[in-house]
Amino acid sequence: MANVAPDTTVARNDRESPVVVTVLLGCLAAFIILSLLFAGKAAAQDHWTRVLSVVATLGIFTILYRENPLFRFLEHIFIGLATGFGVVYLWLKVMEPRWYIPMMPASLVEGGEGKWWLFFALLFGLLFFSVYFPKLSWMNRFAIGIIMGWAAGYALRAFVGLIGPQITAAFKAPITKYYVEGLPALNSIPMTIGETTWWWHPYWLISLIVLMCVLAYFFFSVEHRAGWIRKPAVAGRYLLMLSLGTIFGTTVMARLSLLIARFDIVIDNIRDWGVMILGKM
Amino acid sequence: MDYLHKLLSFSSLYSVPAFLGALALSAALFVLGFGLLHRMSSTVKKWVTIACTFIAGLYFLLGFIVPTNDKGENFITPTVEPVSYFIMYVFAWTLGLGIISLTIVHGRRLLTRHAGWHHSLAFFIAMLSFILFGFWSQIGASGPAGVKSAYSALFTLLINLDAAMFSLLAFYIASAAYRAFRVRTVEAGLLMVAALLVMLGLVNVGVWLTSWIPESSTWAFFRLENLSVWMMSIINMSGQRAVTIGVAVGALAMAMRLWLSLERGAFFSQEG
Repeated sequence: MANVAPDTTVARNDRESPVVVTVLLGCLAAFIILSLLFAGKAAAQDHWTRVLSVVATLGIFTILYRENPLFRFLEHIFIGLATGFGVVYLWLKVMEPRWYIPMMPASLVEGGEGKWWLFFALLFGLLFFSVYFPKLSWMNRFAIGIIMGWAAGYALRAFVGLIGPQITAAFKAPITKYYVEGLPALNSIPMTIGETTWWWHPYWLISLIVLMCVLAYFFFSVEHRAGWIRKPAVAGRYLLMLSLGTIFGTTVMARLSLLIARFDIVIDNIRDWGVMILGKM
Repeated sequence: MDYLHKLLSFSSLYSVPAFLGALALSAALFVLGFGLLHRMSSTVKKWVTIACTFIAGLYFLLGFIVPTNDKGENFITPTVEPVSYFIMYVFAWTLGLGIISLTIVHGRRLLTRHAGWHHSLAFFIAMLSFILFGFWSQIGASGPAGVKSAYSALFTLLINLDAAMFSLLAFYIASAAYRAFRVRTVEAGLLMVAALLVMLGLVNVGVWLTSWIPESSTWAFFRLENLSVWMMSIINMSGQRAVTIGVAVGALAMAMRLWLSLERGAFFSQEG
């Protein structure tokens, strides 16, 4: 017998009573109607925005307790709004000004340029939708092929044009004739040899060592048995852990910043409403 | 003849009948071309697709390889940007695929009154109202006031839901941190030390902890805020650069495989 996981979604949803469903859908309808009614009323709109902020934040945070109808409802609204935003943004900010208006003649659309060949973008774009028709689905692969070919060509260009200079920049000489500032401390140390002053950059040397060690760790063309590759590779693993730890630390701080901002919004608004209702807090 | 010349030289068409004629002709030729190809064998379709993939990649590569003049241009350079944009316009239509998939999933659930149908209804209401009010609010110079207000409210809701969803990660990352910071190996210990240094360097408590080291002294480097910056700008930057170089080499190899259609499973391979 096949090992099929139970459909927990259905089990959870079955528990939702018609009252909960009606209340949630009613709230959504009331939200849209109230939003329409608040046109031109700045104070009401301001309060409405605050209410939305608090409800959205607390509603999403209910998941921290357990799965619940309110979270799932808001989750679906979020997906719907994000999809709608994608459509509106793509058309208004990209396709209309860059594709539609230049394609149309000026006599039909203001600012049109009559570049009729842009119409082929729609024709090629429609090929993607052939995936829903099994007999025509090969056309979808044709469209994907063109995109893949373009992306491959672009990646080849990008490697030489974008990554190449970065690789060159990574190998900075630890001793130069130039003073370099901008790093925390002690990066440029003067050394006078004969009549020439050289600048010793210990950080650049450290950078170079880290780079080479981490590259050695990812270098699998040679088995990591001989000491000349094993030792740098082991050091590379440790250095990579330091690097990943740094990223982890900054990620944690970024998420905490978001959380603090949400708490700020909720606490500030609730305090303001308290002052409004009770007079003083 | 002049019209045909304009069509063949991809010149702009300003009159409406000429423009519509060009669209009709393009669509007819496109349908005819793909109709003919559709009647061909699977092998022909496969090789046509492979050839087009190769040409699409070669075009950009040639633009980079072919020698350039004093201005840094060759015969391909002026067309690279318009063609790149054109391919982006083609790609933009794939958003429709996502919308159709979501519509199928939620539409089916709604029509069959499957458990959780009201969530699907909420999804449709949210998506359609955002699209409706989004486009409607752009009509005319100012747009209808009520519609603008509704669009603004929907946008506010989206932003707040988005921020709240991502701020939830702060809780989940705490459990991830617990697993990562259980010091069982040297690697886990290094990860913990680096993360702690960076986190402490970014908050007031961390700065306060080492504030007894004078800023102008030789030991100022060991103040947590300086150590944290040093970790990020030297160790992390070099480590990430090495990873980027590795990824770029991998991407290069992958790009070659895709460009030459060598990738296993590409284009009709299951059809023999």
